[in-house]
Amino acid sequence: MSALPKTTDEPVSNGTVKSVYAHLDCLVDAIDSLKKAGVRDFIVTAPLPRHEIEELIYEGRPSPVRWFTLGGAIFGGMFGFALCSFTHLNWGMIIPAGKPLVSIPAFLVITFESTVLWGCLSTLMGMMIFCRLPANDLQVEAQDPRFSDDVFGLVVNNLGRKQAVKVTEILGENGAIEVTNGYVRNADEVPPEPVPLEEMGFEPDEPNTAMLARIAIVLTVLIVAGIIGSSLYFQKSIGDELKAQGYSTTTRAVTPVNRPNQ
Amino acid sequence: MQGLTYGAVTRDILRPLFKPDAVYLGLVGISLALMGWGGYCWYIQMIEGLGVAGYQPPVFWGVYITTFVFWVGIGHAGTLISAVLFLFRSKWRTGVYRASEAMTIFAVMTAGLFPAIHVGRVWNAYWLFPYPNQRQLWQNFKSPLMWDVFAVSTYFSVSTIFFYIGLVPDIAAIRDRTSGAVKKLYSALAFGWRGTDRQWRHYMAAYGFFAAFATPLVLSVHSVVSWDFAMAQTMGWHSTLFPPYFVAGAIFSGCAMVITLLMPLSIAFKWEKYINVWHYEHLAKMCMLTGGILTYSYGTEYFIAYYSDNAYEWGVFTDRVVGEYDWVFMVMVFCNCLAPLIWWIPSMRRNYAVLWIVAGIINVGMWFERYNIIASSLAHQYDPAAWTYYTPSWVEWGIMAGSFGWFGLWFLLFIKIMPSVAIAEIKELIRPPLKKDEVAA
Repeated sequence: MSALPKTTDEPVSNGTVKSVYAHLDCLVDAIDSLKKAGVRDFIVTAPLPRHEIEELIYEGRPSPVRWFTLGGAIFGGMFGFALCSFTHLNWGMIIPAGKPLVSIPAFLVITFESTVLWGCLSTLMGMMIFCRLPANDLQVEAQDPRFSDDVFGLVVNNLGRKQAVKVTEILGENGAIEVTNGYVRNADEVPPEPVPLEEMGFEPDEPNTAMLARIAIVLTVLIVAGIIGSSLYFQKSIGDELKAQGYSTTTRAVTPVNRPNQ
Repeated sequence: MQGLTYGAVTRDILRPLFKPDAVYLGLVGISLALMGWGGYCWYIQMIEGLGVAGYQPPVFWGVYITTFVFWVGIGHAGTLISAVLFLFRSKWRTGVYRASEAMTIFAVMTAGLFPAIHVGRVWNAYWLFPYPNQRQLWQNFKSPLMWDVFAVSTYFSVSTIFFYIGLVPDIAAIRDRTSGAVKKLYSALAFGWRGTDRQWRHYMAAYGFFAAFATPLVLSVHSVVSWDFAMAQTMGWHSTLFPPYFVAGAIFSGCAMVITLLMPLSIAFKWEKYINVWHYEHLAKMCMLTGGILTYSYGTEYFIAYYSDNAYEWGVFTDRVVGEYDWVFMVMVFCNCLAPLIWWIPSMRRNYAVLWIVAGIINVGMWFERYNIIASSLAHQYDPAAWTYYTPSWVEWGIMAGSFGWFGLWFLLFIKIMPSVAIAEIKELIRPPLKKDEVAA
């Protein structure tokens, strides 16, 4: 394991100010000051999760990953029960001593396992989507190896030249141990057009949870309709076949009450 | 954790990686030798058939199923420590949960081999899974054996996801301290994790959900395993006591195995700051609790058999104590009920040597507990004319020894290529670096 350098020579883009903090309270103060100054497009990196940072940036809004969890678990439960039911209905040779083909207590085990499995898999998918993993294209300023060790990073983006100077001052005043203004580092390069503050969204790629909820509802309705439709189809096809063979399905118990010799 | 800094934690935990010493290589060699011997025995069984196992009617479940249940039980502690104790915000879990989770994954991987070994024709093992086929032939989902397939595979999947997601920030820490091909490998494994505010936000939310999903699984998977027995009309098995009895036994054996594995690991890697007597004492207390439940269950089993006034049931239970399997019963009671009692003396559960020896005794006892349940019940069924004495063959012993080699090899590989203590979560236990502290000092 190689030791980490005290500073980094990684490039900093024009319009970006990168700062490094050794103290959590300084970082929190800096984020607060940036918000008060109307600067919203920034990334904070930390070697560990800190609730102070999340509270300050997201103000208590829960992660939308939970919708994936809920949707996956509901789907999983229905899938598990449907798998047991349809396979047993599909293979009518299983006539377990006059007991129902679709046995709720016996199938609850598979239903439970499927609920957990699909809930977990969809949570994983939701986490990967919202964390944007794999994230190998994350901006280089946030890729400082020290950020996984013992310091915190605060990278501010989309700044005009004047804004960058102001942000540099704010970050320095709040106890950053290192502040790098891209415009200063790349003094010879032509600066990009600054983005007006009003055009900067707050976490612009924050997912639309209302849309996610609508998608979840539509998917659930489709799945339920599919299951009911398939169930009706199987009940009809298997039921007709069993009736043709002289079996009764009226009580859901498939018993050979109509055998010719009885 | 006083006096530790974030940087020191990263360095301490990553220091032992990639540096195998002679002892480590020796252990790898032993594991490979055991695995090779087990593989050879399995090969013999595949060529010759199940006749090389010691089965004799009516005993057709033996060492393989015993060892399957043993390894599934070992796999319980990891998820209990990582998920259940996470939800309870228990601080002592942080030092030990990563290695325990790894133990869980590898134990379940080991357990998963045994149903395939047990059925003989391993190349047909895929018949256990539902897949569309031209005969429209499906599994019987009312069978506890099918429940078991789903329970164990779900447990393995969820535990693996939970384990790997926990590893991702620490893999990123390794990536940032390596170079060349190794860095590329860990970059791929870390999925580009950078610890941004967005990533931590969704990560922590998802981690909580994984823990919430894994928690009922801890209770359910061994309950389902117990139904493999309890749903059968076999004396000594057909009891509603089995699920809590099996779950308690699984946690008991799992926590003992965590002590067995982690104590040499923490000493060899000089991790006393992160895994120390405080953690072992908590694990010992878990064993004391679950061992107490287990002892109570043993007694309850006998009471139920006596009170049922069922001569066959009572016959099996008395046979376990005074019959041909009495030695198995004695080993079980000594290892699981009597030996752990020494931990009720506080100084004994803080003594490393006593902790390690008793944990080893518990591991032995829990294997014999399953052997006692399986062999004695099957060998002593309703028809006295069919009573027999099952003796495992050398092939069965060889495959069982091979399973320890297989498990050991995975665990040894893990501790040298991944951090066995969770770096990011240990950092959460440390007071964060604050300017006001420095000013005050």
